[in-house]
Amino acid sequence: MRRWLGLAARLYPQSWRERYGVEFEALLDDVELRWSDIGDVLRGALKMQLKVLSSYVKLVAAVAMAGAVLAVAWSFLTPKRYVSSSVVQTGSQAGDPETVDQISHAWQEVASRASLSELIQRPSLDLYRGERNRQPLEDVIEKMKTEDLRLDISQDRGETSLHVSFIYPDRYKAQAVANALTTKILDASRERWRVSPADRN
Amino acid sequence: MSDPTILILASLADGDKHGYAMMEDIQRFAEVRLGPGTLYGAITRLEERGLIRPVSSDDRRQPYTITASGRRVLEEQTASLDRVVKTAQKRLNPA
Repeated sequence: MRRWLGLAARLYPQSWRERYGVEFEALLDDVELRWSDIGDVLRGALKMQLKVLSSYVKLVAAVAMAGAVLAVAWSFLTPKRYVSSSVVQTGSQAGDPETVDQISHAWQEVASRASLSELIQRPSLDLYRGERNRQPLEDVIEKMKTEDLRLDISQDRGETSLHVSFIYPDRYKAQAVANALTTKILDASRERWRVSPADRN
Repeated sequence: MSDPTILILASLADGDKHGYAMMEDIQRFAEVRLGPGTLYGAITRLEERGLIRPVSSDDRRQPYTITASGRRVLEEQTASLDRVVKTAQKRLNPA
């Protein structure tokens, strides 16, 4: 009977056995055992296992709930940001150094302080109004240039393409700025490229 | 009164005891034999609630002592039980 009781005692959770295992075995050695004690120990082991499982489930549920609450709060607190992009297909052979050079020069002109300042303060756009109330215009231009504005040159189907993207909380303004930048690049490059707008929000 | 936690608190009220001593004591004063699983289930709960605590021992048999909170709970429970017993006695033996 002691052997069966010893086996039943092993069914207690590991954490419980680490804490009470030695003294519980000492009790089993001392006590005058009855067959009903096997059922009693099995019931005790089952209750402890359920308790540990319940604590684990509660912990997982609490963490999941906290995560869900944070995610919902984050989604409400984080302002929406829209990306508008334009693709300019140059018609030049992929990797053509003259075209790449031309794009670089055009971009330098378009992303210059004067050009971006004009875009930011253009009455129809009136970009970064809140930021301009708190920060110098130079900082706002720097933010626009480094965080929200992006230029990529790629080689698509053997042709050099230019991708212009702008990120902004107002989707219509994002689209207007991407279009304005594309137009400026085209003007600056005295173009011979084709333009394929691919605006998306 | 067969709640094992109250029986253990009552057993520890007059001094520290290990599991086997508690079993023997409870069997003597309450005529209830707690199985090993029931006894240690109750000891676990009482320790978690801070009503008893282990005292240092070199033996495999771990003695426990009742805490101040445990004594308070036992007093409340016995007072409540006392009211029930007195009411029952009055109703069984009306003057």
